[in-house]
Amino acid sequence: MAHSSQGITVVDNDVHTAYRTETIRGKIADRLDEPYKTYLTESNLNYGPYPRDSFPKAGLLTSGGRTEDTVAGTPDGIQDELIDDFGVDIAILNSLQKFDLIPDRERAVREMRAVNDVFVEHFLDEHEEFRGLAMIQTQDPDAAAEEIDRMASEDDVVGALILNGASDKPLGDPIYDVIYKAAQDNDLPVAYHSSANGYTQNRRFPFMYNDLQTYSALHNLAHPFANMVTATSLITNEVPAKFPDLEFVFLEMDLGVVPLLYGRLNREAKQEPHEFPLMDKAPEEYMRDQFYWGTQPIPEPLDNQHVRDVIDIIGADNVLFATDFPHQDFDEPSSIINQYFGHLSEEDQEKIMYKNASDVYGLGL
Amino acid sequence: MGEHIVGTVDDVSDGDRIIAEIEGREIGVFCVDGEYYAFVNWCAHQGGPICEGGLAGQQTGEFNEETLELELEWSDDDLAVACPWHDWEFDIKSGKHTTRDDIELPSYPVHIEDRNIIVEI
Repeated sequence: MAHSSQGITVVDNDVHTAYRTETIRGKIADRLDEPYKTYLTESNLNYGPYPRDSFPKAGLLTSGGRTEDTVAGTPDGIQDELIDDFGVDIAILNSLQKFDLIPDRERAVREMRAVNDVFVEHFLDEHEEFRGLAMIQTQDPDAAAEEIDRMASEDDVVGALILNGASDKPLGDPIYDVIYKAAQDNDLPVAYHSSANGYTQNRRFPFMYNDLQTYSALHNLAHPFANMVTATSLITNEVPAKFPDLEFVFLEMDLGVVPLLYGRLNREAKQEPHEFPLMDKAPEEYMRDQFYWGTQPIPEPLDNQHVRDVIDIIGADNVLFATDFPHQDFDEPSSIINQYFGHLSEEDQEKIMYKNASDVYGLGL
Repeated sequence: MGEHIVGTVDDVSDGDRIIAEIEGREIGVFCVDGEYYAFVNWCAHQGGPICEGGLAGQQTGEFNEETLELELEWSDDDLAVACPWHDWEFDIKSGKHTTRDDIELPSYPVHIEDRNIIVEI
């Protein structure tokens, strides 16, 4: 299914859908009982049900996509701009809802189910180019596992997504094993995606992080920090060894952190071998076998060659193309291919642009 | 290849080691459960004095994917020597790093003759 505009099939691994519109909020509320229904329909919920930081963001498309009166993030908006204009063939959609920041655990669980139902009905069923990641809260791991079981029966749901940086504990903690077991049993990968404003709301790590004062500072570190904590927690709790058939996808973390994780965790495992009783390979080998890394936001050093070098270190087998559409820091497919993938063989470009995603998510491409 | 007497069995008690210099190389000979193991005193990591490190047991684990229970077992039967510099641990019998089969200390055959400990290099 080679696409004409790029001359290569494109799977976009990170596409956000809008949830702050009145339409979507109404659909979610329709699936909730009181008092949870009212939480979403109160007119004073200017920003939807989720806590936010107070940074002014003129022009910024915050999580959930553009707000009212715009089309991006709606099914037709994604079709028009991403599929038709940017030449994406298959879009892996997510809702990136911040259930783990909802103080009321029962509300978080109920909204998770309602949001996923709306996600499937309103977005995935609308367009054949769309697949989706079911958004999972982690406050109640058993309920998360049940939701993975429930969502796995949906044809267009190809994985589970966790907002990392907001969980009660680092996501390799054994309390989450039940989630990973459900994902492995259903042959669904687990993806992680952080949030700049979500991360600061957690107020757990690191504390100074909350005093960075500007959005650029916060955003600069939120995603790589959250994903480094997650990857480190997964490896040091030996989750890939516990669930050898499970694959893990990291989105928006910055490719630059991957070589650091490879080398540094290798070293830690050799220095503290008693802390790794289950692993019979180097951490880097587990990561190369089971971890996949999204490209967006592609780093922008002064010399593009440095990005190509990082991609070569990671290897084309473990890189997934992603735009982050429709957010402000999205990456446009043709531009990214031309600037950063031109040195790769056609086969390696195909891996990054769609074949790896097809393997991880079972897209059959 | 030559045979070198590095001491007698009375020089090294069980669970201990002696370090000798053979042809300019420092060689450590460990006695564990009556068996002798000889390694170069040069850690495969960054050249630390591996044979001067402590001996300790090893931890193994087994994960039950159905019950999600992790069982850990500490065994003093499988001793490892830990480098005093960075704590890299090598199995005393195989000379291999305890988590990485591809990293190994150079080892040498040892035998006893007339209570002499003889290393072949």
